[in-house]
Amino acid sequence: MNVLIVDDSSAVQLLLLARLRSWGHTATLASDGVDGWEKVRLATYDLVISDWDMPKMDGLELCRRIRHHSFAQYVYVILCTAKDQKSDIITGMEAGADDFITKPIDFAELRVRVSAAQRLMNLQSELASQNQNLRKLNSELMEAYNRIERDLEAAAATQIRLLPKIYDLHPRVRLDWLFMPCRFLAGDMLNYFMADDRHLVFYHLDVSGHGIPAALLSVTLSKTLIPLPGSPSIRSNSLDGRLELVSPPDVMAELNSRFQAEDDTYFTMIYGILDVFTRELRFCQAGHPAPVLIRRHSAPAVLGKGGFPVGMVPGMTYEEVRLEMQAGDRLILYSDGLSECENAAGIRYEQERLMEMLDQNRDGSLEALMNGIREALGAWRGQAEFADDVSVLAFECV
Amino acid sequence: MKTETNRVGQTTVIKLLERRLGADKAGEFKAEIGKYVEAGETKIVLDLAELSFMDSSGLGALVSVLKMIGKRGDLTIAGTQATVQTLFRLTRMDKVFRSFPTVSEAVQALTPQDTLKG
Repeated sequence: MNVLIVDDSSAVQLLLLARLRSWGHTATLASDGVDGWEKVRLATYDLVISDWDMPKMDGLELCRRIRHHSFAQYVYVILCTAKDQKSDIITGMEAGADDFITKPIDFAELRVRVSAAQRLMNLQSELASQNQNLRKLNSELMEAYNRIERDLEAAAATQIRLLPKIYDLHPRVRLDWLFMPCRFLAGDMLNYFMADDRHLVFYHLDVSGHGIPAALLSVTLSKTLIPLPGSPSIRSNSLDGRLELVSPPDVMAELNSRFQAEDDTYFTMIYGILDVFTRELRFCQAGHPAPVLIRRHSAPAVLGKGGFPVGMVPGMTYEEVRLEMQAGDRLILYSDGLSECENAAGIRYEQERLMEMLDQNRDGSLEALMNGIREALGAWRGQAEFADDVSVLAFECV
Repeated sequence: MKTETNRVGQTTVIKLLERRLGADKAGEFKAEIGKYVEAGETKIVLDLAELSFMDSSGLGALVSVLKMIGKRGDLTIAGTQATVQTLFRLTRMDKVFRSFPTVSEAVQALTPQDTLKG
């Protein structure tokens, strides 16, 4: 150890110096508290052995100053004193002394007290090195975490880019949507496109679970449903080979056979086709919340009787819902993240509240409706983050 | 995952003592029921009377448990509350699971008829 000896007697100084060196330590001398206080700040000392009564500054004051100063490592202090009173020991300990030795110094006793100091200092240096390792590991973890977070943000941005950007696909239909993913990656996906000059194809899906697996599946589905040869949504007519739209239940059955998962991953979906001229609507509801139809002069109503989710049980058949829409009619599709959105008291938003909300906002534009839903749900939730993705797809016949 | 188990003849009745089955509990639920399946139980009644909410992850776990048992035994469900019934109807799980209002009906559905006569 590196030891600072503080004593106003040069005889005691030299005696201590000789002993400490013979025990394998290095030592520096200081002649009083002021000298000791200057020296202890100039180098790194493991141990200070200081006399109690000294001119200029006594050992107690030196001890207090050492304790109030922030050193890179702990400084162990042994006070030497002629005093052996209990009250003195208490005063010394309050000043921050770790140990005491009475004068005249018994060197056999000093030796064991220095050994005790050595044990403590070894322990503290071991702890310091473990702490340093922990700090290093912690900073590596933080770096990895930040990298993952950046990657997730990039993936989320890519996913958002898959959402439709055009709202005026055709003069006979108006479209809008709302997408509020839960923390970073969403399992919800929605899209629409004109498959030919009269058929609007739309879908809204929700992959069970969250995070990367759900997001990857939702992106894969979005790609699968692009109406190119090989997609479940179109096939060649058996008579003339021309491409035609596959009926919604057949699309669903095909997706169900393609996406049977080994784990519990599945998705709920609504897939539909609207003939924008006749306003004939056909859709298939696969375990997804029932869509809401808002007719011009009647209260909002839910459509469909449910259906099997996709990718859960093989060999399922699906049903089609058909109806004639009229000019001004709206259809609203939403994911269960909306109806199951809980407020601070743990109460879910539920379909009933959505229906009321839709009824109250029926006169504005679709855009205003989407904003209304966003605000209503934000106010209901009462905090920035949602527990599940919230998404809505809406269209209106013109 | 808190459960309470009873044995009625050859059937194990597992009562779920949870009010919610969501993404946070889905894994635990599968592991818990999985223990009984691994132990060789082939007739299981799941009593869901305490369960007031199940989300899509919970439903996924339930189907996965059914698939686990499906190969070597049978499972029926008892005591579902209205919210769970609504989810079952929406997802047509009423066609996949056999669900009964009471535990005794769910047990009886797993009991061979000749045993009843005997």
